Amino acid sequence: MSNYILGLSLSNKLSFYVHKRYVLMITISAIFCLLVLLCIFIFRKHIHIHEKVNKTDFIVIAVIICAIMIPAKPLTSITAKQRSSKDQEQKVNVERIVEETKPTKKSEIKPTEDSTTLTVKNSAEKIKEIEAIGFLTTGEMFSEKENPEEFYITRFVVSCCTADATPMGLKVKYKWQNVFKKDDWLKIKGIITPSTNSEGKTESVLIPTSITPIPTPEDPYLY
Amino acid sequence: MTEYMLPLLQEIFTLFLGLIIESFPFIIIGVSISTIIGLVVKESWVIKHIPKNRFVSHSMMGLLGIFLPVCECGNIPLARRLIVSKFSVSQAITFLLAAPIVNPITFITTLEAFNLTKEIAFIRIICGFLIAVTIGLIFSYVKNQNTLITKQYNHTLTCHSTHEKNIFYALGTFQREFFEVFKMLFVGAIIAALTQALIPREVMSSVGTHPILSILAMIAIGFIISICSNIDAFFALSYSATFTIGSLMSFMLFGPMIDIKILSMLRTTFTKKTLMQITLLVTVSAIIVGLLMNIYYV
Repeated sequence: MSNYILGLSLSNKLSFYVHKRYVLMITISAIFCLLVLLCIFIFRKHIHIHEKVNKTDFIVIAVIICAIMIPAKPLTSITAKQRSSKDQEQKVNVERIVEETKPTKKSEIKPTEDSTTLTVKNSAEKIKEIEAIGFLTTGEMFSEKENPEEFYITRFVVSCCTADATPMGLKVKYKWQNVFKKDDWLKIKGIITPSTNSEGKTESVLIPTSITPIPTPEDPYLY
Repeated sequence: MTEYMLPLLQEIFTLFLGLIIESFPFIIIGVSISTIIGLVVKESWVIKHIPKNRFVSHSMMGLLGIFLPVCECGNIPLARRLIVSKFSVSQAITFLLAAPIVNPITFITTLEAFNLTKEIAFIRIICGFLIAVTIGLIFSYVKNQNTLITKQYNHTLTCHSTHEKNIFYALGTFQREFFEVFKMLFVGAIIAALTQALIPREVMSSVGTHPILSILAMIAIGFIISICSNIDAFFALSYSATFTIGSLMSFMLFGPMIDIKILSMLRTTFTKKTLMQITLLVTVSAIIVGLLMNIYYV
C-alpha cells in the first residue's frame, strides 16, 4: 500500500483522492512506513512477527491487486448525479473572468482567497465573459431529462477526500451530443446569461463562445 | 449493463481509495505514538498515578485528546495501547469517543467553519466531552472489564506482559498494530464506499428542515461517509442552508465517535455487544443534543 501511495504521489495522482493539503503528509507517511517495514524485514530474526493469516488478509491482498490494475481516475458524473441536489446553489468554477460588465471588487466574485468558485446567482449581472474548466454532465445530475441542447460544466469541491466531494455545475447551452460525451473535460469561454427553464424559473446559463476539450487536470477538484 | 457497471466499479474504487489514503497518515501517527507509549510508559506507573475516583479519571481521559490531537483513525491504536498499559477499558472508551472532538485541531476547524456562530464550536467540544465521559462512566460499572473486549485481544494482553521492551519489541508492535487496524480499515472503507455510491444523497437531504428527521438523516450521513473529524465541520457547513442547526450538531458529535470505518476498526478490540451498546448510547446522546438545539438555539 505504501508503494502504491508513493506511486500515486510520484505521478501527481494523489489529488484524485484527497485534498491537496494532505498530499505531503501522506507521502511522508508512506516513506516512513516503508522504512519501518524495511527495518522489520532486516531484523526479522529478532522480532516476533504476527504471521497468522485470516480471510481479511485475502480481502486486503485482492484490493491491492485491483488497485494496481485499475487506473487512477478522479470522480465522475456518476457521483455527481448521486450527490447533487436541486436546492444546491448554482455555482461554477471560474478560471478567469475575461470581461466584467460592471467593475466589481475581487471579494464580491471570489468568496475566499484560495477559492475559484463563483456564486452565479449574485454575479451574473456583473460578469460578462468567463472562462471555466470542468467535466461534462447532463441534466440527469439535477433530476432533469437529458437534453441534447444543453449540459452542465461540473466540478467537485473537496474539503477532505472523495468521501465529502460535492458537485457544482452551471448549465451550458450547446448541442453537445455529437461532439462531446459525458465526463469529457472541457475549457469553456462564454457569457453568463439569465434564462427561463422548463419550470418557469429564472436561472443563469452559460452561452459558450468557445469550447476546447482538455485532458483531465492534475488537480481535478476545487477546495 | 457492462457499460454502466464498469464505470460504477471504478467510482466505488475511487471513493474507497479516498478513504484509505486519507486515513493512512493518521494511522501511521497513531501507531507510532502508541508504540512509543508502549516503550516509555510502564504499567506500574499508570497503576500508581491514575486517580482512583472514577469521575476524575474518566474526565482526565476525556481531556487527553488535547495533548494527542490525532483524528479517530489514529486514536484506535492509541486506545488499544491504553488498555495494554493497564488503563481500564471504560477509560479507553472515554478517550476513544472524546479525543476526535476534544482536540485543538477539531476545535479550530469548527471555529473556522462556523465563524459567524462561534458558540457552535464551544457547544460541540463541551457536548462531545460530556457524552464521552458519561458513556465511559456507564461502562466503568461493568465489574469484569475484560468482558468488553474480544477474546483475541484479551490473549494479546496476556502475551504482551511476557515480552522484553526494546527496539525489536517496538518494531514488532508497530507491525502487528498497523496490520491489525489497517486491514479492518479496508473492510470498513469498502462498505462505506459501496453505501456512498449506491444511496443517493438527495434521499437523505429531502428531510433537511424537519426538526427530527433532519437529525436522523445527518446521523445516517455521518455514519456512511466516515470523514475525518478534523475537517467534518466544513462538510457540515455545506448543509447549513438546507438542514437544521441541531442536525448539523448531531452530525458533528456522532460522526467522529461512530461510523462504518471506525466500527470496523474497533472490532479488532471490542466485542460486538460492546460496540452495539456504544453505538446506541452515542446515537441517543447525539439525537438529544440535536433536538435541544433545534428547540432552544435560534
